[in-house]
Amino acid sequence: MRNKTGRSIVYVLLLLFVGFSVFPFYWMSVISTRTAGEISAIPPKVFYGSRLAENFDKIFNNENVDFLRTMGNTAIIAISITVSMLLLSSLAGFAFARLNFTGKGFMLLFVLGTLMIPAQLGIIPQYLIITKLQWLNDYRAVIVPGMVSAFGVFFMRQYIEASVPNELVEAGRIDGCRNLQLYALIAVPTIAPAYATLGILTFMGAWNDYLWPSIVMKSNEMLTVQVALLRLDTSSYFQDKSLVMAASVMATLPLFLIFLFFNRQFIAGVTDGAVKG
Amino acid sequence: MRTGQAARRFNQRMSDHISGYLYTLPFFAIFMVFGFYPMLYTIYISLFKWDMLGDRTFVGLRNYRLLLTDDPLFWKSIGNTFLIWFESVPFQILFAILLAVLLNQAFIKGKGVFRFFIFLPNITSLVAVSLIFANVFGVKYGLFNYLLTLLGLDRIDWAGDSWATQLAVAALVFWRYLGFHMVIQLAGLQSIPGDLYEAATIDGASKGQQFFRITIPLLTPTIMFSTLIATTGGLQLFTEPFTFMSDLSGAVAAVNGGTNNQVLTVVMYLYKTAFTDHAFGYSSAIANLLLVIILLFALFNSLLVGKLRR
Repeated sequence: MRNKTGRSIVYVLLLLFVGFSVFPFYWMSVISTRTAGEISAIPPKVFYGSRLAENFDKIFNNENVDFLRTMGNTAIIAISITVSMLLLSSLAGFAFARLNFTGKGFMLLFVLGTLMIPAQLGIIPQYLIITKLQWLNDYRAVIVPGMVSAFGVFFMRQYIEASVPNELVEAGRIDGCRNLQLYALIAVPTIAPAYATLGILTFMGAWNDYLWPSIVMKSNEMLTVQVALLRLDTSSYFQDKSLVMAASVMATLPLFLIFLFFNRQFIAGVTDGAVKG
Repeated sequence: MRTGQAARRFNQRMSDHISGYLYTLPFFAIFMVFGFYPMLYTIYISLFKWDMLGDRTFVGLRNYRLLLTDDPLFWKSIGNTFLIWFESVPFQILFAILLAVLLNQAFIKGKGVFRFFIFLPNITSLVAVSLIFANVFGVKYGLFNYLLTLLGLDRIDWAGDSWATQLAVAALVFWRYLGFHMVIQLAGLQSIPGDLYEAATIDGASKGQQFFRITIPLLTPTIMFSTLIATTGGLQLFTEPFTFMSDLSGAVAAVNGGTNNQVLTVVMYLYKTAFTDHAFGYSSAIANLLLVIILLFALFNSLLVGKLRR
């Protein structure tokens, strides 16, 4: 009996935290279905309204921002960054894990040493470089700096070291494989789970980034979706939060779907660093 | 035969060198341009006064002296950053451990479902999340203030009052990263060998004793890891307070970290001095001081972990 009560308490506690975690999402979706007038009602309306289509319509015909275009911009940026991150990190990771070359130890130490240095503290020179390259309001301004990272390289190196057997690589060599073939035919198929993890982490990071895109993507047609969220209702003299919440639903939906399908790989990626590192 | 083998080995060595440098080149090229060079250049320009017109004058360490001795706003931003850290991170890690322990109980069914929902805040768009919180904490029509009036309490000025604004931002940070740290703690718990608990049970140790004598000591490295991540992230807090203020009090208040700078964090101050005041040299000095703080903390953390391992 005592045991049963204890178990119920544990379930109740967990459910409370689930409620705490989910409630803001529920609230966002409720507001997105209401009008600006309805969301300033007292008492607040806590169930769904009927204005979702209308709010979406207002977003698509917004006078300040072409919201669909900003979604498209963000998709182009996030996909480009993800693809290049996977390719370049695994290539460098493969070299560090399975090839012998002079200076490898030092170079790897360098990668490790830079893991702790936050990129956003170099934001002023980064901005000056982008200005000099004349990449302001250009996809390259956001894509190129994010194409590969020390974290990505280190993550791939650790995974290849642990999962691609040396014997297999040697056997490939005896069969006459060149290095690029060893990478493509032996390493790549083995590290598919690492691709999934790093890919999701990278995509989500790129989709959610605010600070850097807000500095280098200023013109209206080049905004990313996170920046656009803050620009939707700036010029109207009364603020329409229902509109902003409906747009937030749209900005969150792609991430939600990805998380729904890949949450195992994603969580595996988060915990890898904790236990192995 | 022998010379053939030696030649082949030589060829292999050559091609390994070429491939090795070629495959790591994209990383080093991008890192040098957008990571390493900016770091050095930030140190360099922090020694200059750089005005709105773009004229540069060498001033030595004057920017640092001004920051440390003659800029109350800088100290305020440091204070704010640490206050928000203090109001969120310790609770976050405490609750993350609690949730991880609960979720790790053998009898729990649907672990994956619980984990999915509690982790959900972490994957959401940061801007969207900050906008939702701004909505819930709205002064006139926000849900939270409505609940307070139901209880017969006064409304709280979540956008104007210093403590209230900081608490609201801290609540947002707590909410967003709780699941993240729970998942990390869960992995830490699962790496503790089960036979330790079996042996302790045979020796007659209670659940409480097991928790404090086995779980906590063996979980300490994982707790330190969580603390490190939360702190390096917390010291660079920007988007949450910026967006929260932007939605509640407008763009100007966002840049200033609130109507009386109550949630102006160090990175927000860096952003303001660089991109509103165009004082690039001064702003770079802020970046370097923050980097020093972060590295000192990381060093302290790794020394502590090293000591604990011994």
